[in-house]
Amino acid sequence: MRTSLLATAFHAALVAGAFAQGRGEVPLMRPEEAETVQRQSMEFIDAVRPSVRPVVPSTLWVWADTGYGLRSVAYGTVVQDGTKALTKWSEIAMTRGPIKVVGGDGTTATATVIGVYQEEDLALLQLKGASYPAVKLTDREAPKLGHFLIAASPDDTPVSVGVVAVEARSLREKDQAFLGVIANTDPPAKGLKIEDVEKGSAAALAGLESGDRILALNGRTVTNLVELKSVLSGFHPGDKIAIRYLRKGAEATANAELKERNVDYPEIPNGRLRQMERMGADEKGLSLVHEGFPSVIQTDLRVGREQCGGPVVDLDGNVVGIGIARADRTRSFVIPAKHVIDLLSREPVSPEVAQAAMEEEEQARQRQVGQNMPPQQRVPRAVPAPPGAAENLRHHLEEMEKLMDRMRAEMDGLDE
Amino acid sequence: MKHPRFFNGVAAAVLASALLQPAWSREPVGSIEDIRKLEGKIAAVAEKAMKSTVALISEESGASGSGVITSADGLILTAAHVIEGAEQVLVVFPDGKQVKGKVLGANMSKDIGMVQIEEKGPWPFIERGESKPLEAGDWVIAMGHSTGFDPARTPPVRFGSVVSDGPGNFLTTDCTLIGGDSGGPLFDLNGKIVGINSSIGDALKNNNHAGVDGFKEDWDRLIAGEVWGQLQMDPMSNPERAVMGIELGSQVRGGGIVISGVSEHASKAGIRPGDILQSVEDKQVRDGRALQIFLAKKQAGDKVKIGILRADKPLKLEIELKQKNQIR
Repeated sequence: MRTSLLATAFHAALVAGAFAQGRGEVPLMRPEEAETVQRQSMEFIDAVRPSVRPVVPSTLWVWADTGYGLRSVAYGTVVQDGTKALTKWSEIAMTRGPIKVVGGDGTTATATVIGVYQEEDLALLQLKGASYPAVKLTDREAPKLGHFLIAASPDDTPVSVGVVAVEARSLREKDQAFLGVIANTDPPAKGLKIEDVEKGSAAALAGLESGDRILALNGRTVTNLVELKSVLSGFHPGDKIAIRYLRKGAEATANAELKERNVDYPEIPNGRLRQMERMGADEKGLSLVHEGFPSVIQTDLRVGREQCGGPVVDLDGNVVGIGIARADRTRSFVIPAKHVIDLLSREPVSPEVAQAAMEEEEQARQRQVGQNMPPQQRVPRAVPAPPGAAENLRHHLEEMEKLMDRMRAEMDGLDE
Repeated sequence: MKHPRFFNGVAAAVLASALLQPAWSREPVGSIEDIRKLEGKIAAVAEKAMKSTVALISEESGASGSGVITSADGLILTAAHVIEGAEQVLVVFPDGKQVKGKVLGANMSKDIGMVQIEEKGPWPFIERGESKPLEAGDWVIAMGHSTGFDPARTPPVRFGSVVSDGPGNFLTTDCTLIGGDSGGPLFDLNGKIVGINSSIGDALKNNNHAGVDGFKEDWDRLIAGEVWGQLQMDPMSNPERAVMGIELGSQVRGGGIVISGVSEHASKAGIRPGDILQSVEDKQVRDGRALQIFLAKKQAGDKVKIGILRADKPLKLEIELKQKNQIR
């Protein structure tokens, strides 16, 4: 395991640690340390209880049978006239039979999905048989870095307290601005040398050519790709940007209109990182859908997969947003209240349309899996897929990933 | 990896007999006003620390870790495993600005290392605090470029508390870390660096940091570019773990262990071969493992009170702990 690869070295240490300590434990933790930590966290929860109290009656358990019997699969947030609630769509999309919601006081209502906001992964439920107090959503500014967030639960004890880890941003790929150049800094020279310009890209339309050296974007000097990407991250597709560049020794300026990425660059799969993301997932399950949201606050809240969909408040009891995903060991996402208000003023798509889109996504994934397999293993499917096949496959893939992680961990263990 | 079962079975039971300390003297969180004060401090630290929390990217491998600038002329503290094998790294600031850094020394046993920014400063920096006084319940803030540098986001802030001190110079917090965070800073509520992110275990509570005090002892060697030690998460095989310098013999019925051999150091402290070690810090010693686990949480330089039995007479001694690799 002696390599110069940083990630590899880190992982060696990590696996060794994990093996030595066993699951769910902290090595060498004294009982009085455990007591201190537990006492402190109980005190903390007690202190913030009043902050979360106003939204407790608006927080619901959402019950559905997604193949494991009827159970609580997500939380819901009561909105509008008290007969509607938002919940996490991907957790109920594959439900069989009726959906129920239950309040903290035991009040039960039946629920029907009347619309889906696909990008946010939120479903709008119509409740029948009971109504609940709705949360008060205001379009206040999203909370600042390091401020406390409290995830509510239907009973009096909040799920978790965390902080704003990264202020609200878009995780949507189409919000990322691209210039469309392949460039490098080798050999070291003035400017960022363009190796290739993608056809039809912002750079091509602005007249940049391979061999040009980019010096600055909107006056900010860029000397390498990381800086280029950092500058671009401050812009959106459609924004205009001035590019100062060097061509055959002479400086010039081009104006480009930034675009979305139009080629799918293959992402390098990072198995080790994926394993780390899952570490701790035994304590709190990870959400299936946890990417691509148009606006989210990143937090270190420890909400489980089945605790997404409920309101998140600040210390003053203001609804900051709706918890939408547990992404990995370190990250949970919250859709800001302002975005939820905007969303509710939009027309959602029907659940049928959303379901069809989900199936399609699943098929695309299957195709991708097929392409990545050696050709001889690509057997055409002879039998038409039965209903629910997509969900089954999803389960299989999840299991498989876990198995692979375990195997990787064991292999690394052997290296030691 | 030699003693995986060791910790599973024994640690909890044995530590039940370890010292009881009045640990409940931490920042209060009894009321919403306390929590508001805490929030103000966290937000202030996060904002102040942001500029100094850099990503370190090795150009050879493309792998990415974190670091924190601790002087105006650009000295960066990081984890040893982040810079292992590299002579130069790219130092990337949260705003994307990038400069070159020269890799200085590293102590693998403590998982601490240094990088010097080559370009002249002044650079935004954060002062070092103290890690040794930290104990369970102390609030801390961890930062780092999780999963590698991402220009679309600032380095994520994580808040939590120390859950356990040790082994040795390390400490464990419930600030959840992931790959890429290694080498990143752990701050106290005053915004001083108290640790460096090192590794994680499976539990969400199991995030390990190298205490910043480890740098103090090794400062000159690190600055001089020396690289030594061994990266080892098993505290028992850490060459720098704290020991008394005695060899343990058989267990004595009714409690205690026979001391079968003594080093020069132990001898100077007054221990003789044949003595029976009965207690450490006024707690009875059950067996050799219990003693090892107790010592794993201590650091070289700590002084420990021991009770021995010599020729049927009880005797109290005090011995300073030494690094295992310094014992002859």
